Amino acid sequence: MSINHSTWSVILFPYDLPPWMCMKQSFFMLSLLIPGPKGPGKNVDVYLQPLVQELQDLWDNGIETFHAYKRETFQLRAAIMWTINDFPAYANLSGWSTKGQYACPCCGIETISRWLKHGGKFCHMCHRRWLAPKHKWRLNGEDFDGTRELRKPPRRLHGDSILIQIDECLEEGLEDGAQPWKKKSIFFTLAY
Amino acid sequence: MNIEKNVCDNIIGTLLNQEGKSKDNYKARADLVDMGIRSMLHPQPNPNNNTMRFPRACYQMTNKEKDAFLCILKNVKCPDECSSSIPRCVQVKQRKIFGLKSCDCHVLMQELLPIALRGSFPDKVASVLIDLCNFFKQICSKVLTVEFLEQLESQIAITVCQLETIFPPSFFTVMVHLVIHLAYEAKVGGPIQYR
Repeated sequence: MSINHSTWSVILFPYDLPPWMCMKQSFFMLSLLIPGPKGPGKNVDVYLQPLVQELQDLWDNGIETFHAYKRETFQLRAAIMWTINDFPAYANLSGWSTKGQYACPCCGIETISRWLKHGGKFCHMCHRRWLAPKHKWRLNGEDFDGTRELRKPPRRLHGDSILIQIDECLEEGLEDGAQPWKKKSIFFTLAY
Repeated sequence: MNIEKNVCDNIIGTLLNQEGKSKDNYKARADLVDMGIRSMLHPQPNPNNNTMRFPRACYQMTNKEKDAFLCILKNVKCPDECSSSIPRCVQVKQRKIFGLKSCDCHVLMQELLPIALRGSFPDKVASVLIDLCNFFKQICSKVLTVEFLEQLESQIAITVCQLETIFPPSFFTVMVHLVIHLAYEAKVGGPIQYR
C-alpha cells in the first residue's frame, strides 16, 4: 500500500463540553485543511497563521455570544490547551527535532543518548537517572549499559526558560554543534 | 496510545524474534560486544564452520514456548465490542503476529499479554513485562490522583531500569524512553481518555 498524497487537517475540540460529548463528531470544528500532495512538514506554521491570529483575537477581545440558558449575552474567550498529534508531527508543530541525538522533547537538551555503531542508530538507555540518588543500581554498570550513572533527572523547563533556550539555540546551536530547535514555533506568538 | 503501540510492537517483535521486527539481531549483539556488557549474549564462533552462533537470550522463546504463547492468543474469546479480532492477527503455523492496529495493541498490552506471558517466560522477564503492562493499565484508568501518579512515576523508573537489564540497547528507541514521562504528563494533563 503506497500513499502518494497527504492532506493534513487541523481540528479543534471545545473542551468545556462534558467528556462524553467533546470527542463526538458533531462537536468537531474543522478549522484548516492543508492540501497535498505533500504534507507541509515544518512549514506548517505558514498554514497555521490565520488560525493563530483568530486564537489571539479570541483571547484578547473575545466574541460576544448568546447564553441560551441564562438568556443573555456574554464575552466568550478561548485558549488553546494542547495539541494532539503523532510523534513526527510533534517535531513540525513544536520546532523541537524528535529525531536523532536529542529526540526526547521532555528531556530537552539534557537528553542522553548513545550512538550504536553497528545498529546505526541512537538508543536511549539512561533511565537510572530517575532512580533515587543513592540507589544501588546506579553504581552497577555490568547489568545495565556498562557505566555508572550519577546524573540527576532532567530539569523541567518552564515557558520563559524555554523561550530563552530557543533564542540562544537558534543563534549559536548547542556546545557540540547540534541544533535540536529547528524553528521558533508559531504557537509561541500567542499571549499565554 | 501511540507510545503504547510502539512499545507493544517492540516487545512482540523481540519476544517472537520476528524477522525485521525484532530489536535483537546480529547488529544488536555486535553492539553488546562494543559496549562490553552481558558477555553471556556475545556471538560465539561456531567450531564447525566460519559462521557465528548467537546464544539464546532469556527473552527469546523456544519453538514449543512460542506455540503455547500463540495458542493462548489464538484462542482468546472477547465479548462483543471489546476489541477487534486479535486471533485473526496470530499465525500459529508461521509463529508470527502481524497486522496489529493500535487498538489491538491497547487490548493486548492491558489485558492479554500478562496472561499469555506467564507460562512461557522465566519469572524474571515475565514479572517485569507484567509490571509494564500494569503501568499502562493504571495510567489509562478513569480516576487518577496526584499521589497515585507520583507513586507510578517512581515505579515506572524501576520497571524501565529492569527492562534495561533484560533487553539489548537497540530495544530502547525514543518511544520506549517516552514511557517514563507518561506519569508526569498525566499529572499535568489529566486522565488520558478525556484529553
